[in-house]
Amino acid sequence: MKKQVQGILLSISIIIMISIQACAQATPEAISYGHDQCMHCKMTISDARFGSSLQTKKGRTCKFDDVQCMLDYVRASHVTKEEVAAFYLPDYSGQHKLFQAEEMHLLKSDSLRSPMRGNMAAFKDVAEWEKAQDALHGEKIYWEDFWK
Amino acid sequence: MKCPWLKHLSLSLFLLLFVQPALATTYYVGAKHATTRISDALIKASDGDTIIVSPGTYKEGNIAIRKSIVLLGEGYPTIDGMKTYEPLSIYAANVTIKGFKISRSGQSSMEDFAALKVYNTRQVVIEDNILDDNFFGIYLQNARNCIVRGNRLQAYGRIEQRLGNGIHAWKCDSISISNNKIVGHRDGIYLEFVTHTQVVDNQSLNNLRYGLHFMFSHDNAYLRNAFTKNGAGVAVMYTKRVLMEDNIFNENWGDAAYGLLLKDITDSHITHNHFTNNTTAIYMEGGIRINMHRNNFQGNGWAIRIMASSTDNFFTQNNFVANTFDFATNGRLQLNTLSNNYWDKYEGYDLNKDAIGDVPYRPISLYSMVVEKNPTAMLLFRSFMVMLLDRTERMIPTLTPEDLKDDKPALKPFPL
Repeated sequence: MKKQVQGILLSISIIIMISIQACAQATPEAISYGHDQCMHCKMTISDARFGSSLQTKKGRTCKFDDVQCMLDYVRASHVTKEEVAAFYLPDYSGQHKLFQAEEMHLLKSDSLRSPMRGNMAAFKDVAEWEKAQDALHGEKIYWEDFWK
Repeated sequence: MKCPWLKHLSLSLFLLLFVQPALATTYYVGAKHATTRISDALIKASDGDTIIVSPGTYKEGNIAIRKSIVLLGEGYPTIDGMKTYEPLSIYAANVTIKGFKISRSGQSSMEDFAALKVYNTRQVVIEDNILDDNFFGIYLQNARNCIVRGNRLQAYGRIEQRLGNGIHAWKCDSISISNNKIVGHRDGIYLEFVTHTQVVDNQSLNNLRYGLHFMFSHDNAYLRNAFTKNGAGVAVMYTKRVLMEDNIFNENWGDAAYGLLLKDITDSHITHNHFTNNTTAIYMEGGIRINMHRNNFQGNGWAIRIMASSTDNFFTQNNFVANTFDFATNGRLQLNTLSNNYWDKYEGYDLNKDAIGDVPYRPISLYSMVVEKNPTAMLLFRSFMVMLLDRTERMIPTLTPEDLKDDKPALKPFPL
């Protein structure tokens, strides 16, 4: 009997620990391409290479079709920078998964032709970033510079 | 007496006999002819020549046209891009492409491959072609005075994949786009930095994003087009002086779908259009001095959603029939004018029999304001309480904008 209770307690504590872990590690809400609407320009988000999002500290997710729209949205103070828990940018190469903006390497090039002409791409992998810079004749830019 | 000038004249006439007019040559391409490849005929041809291509499939990689020629297809010969190449690229002025089937262009995340791309030139005519399963369809880049007429475009992309637009124009001027049918692309017709252009009599259906989409494109006219069942309708953004007339916007359903999305549009005319069965017929944000006259709004969820950033717009003689909400807004202050529209929800009277209602009509219901702030409240719509609230608000407006009303509501719908 005592063993059984111990077992139950153990499993409960494991579940709690896992769920706490899950909460702490914020995962970005997936963008539903072709259905979700950009918070800023109201266009339907359809290009996975540029779809970005931010999550506020209260847990609300705002989605955008272009990094430029996300920047403009924050600059227009619809959400202030202080209220944002995390900014997410898509990896231009590979499966276009969303990663935290701080982990990404950014490239600006007019030949990118993003939906709202922000023309910025983000790369998780440094090698891909370098490769794209040569291919697109882009200019390396840095996420921190947007907030100075 | 001799005339010295007569001698000169006869001499010049004599010399004229030796002047050969530059005759245009016609080249034939096909299995039965000496030339079997279009590219070979292009090498032989010079400016002003015509190349006639027999039926068959031509797999030549990229065909680049750098001479002013007329390229005619007989019985729609197929130019196949084999999912790798751009089938046709046009670099020369005065080129005509007519009667081809162009299929399977290359696809790339770095480059915008098209079935047919026009690069930095003018006076190109693209007529009566069938474009099937391409990334972009017809792509005009930095072109002037071109005609895109009577083409049929079909693509089969799904939203998860990357897909190009049907007719795509970028930095162009004086283009005529008419009688085309575009199905299954990302945007049916996409214009960016395009001026003095006419988009007439086109059909844009079942495209994944917008039927028509234009940004930063001033002084253009869109007449008699049909935009049906596209992912999100039609989007008009950051544009001045637009004329939209006699178009049909219908069956654009979805949370982010609009019959017509207007964002930052100034000094434009929207007249004689039909908006039928859309979630939102017109969504307007930052619209200034837009004249909406004699449009028909029927069976939409919202006929017009106008954000507080829109001012000085005129809505006259439009018909609002069988819409769930005729008008919605998010602000209390209204600087737009509604006059002499027909509203099927109007319950007033006309004692002096002048066909104009004697009491004003307020098209904004209380509940449309609530839903604007809190979309999930839609669940309670059509409940008894909501109806009661709406009635009370109609009599004593407290939350809805006081100025937003039609002082001369028409009692009969306008013939359109």
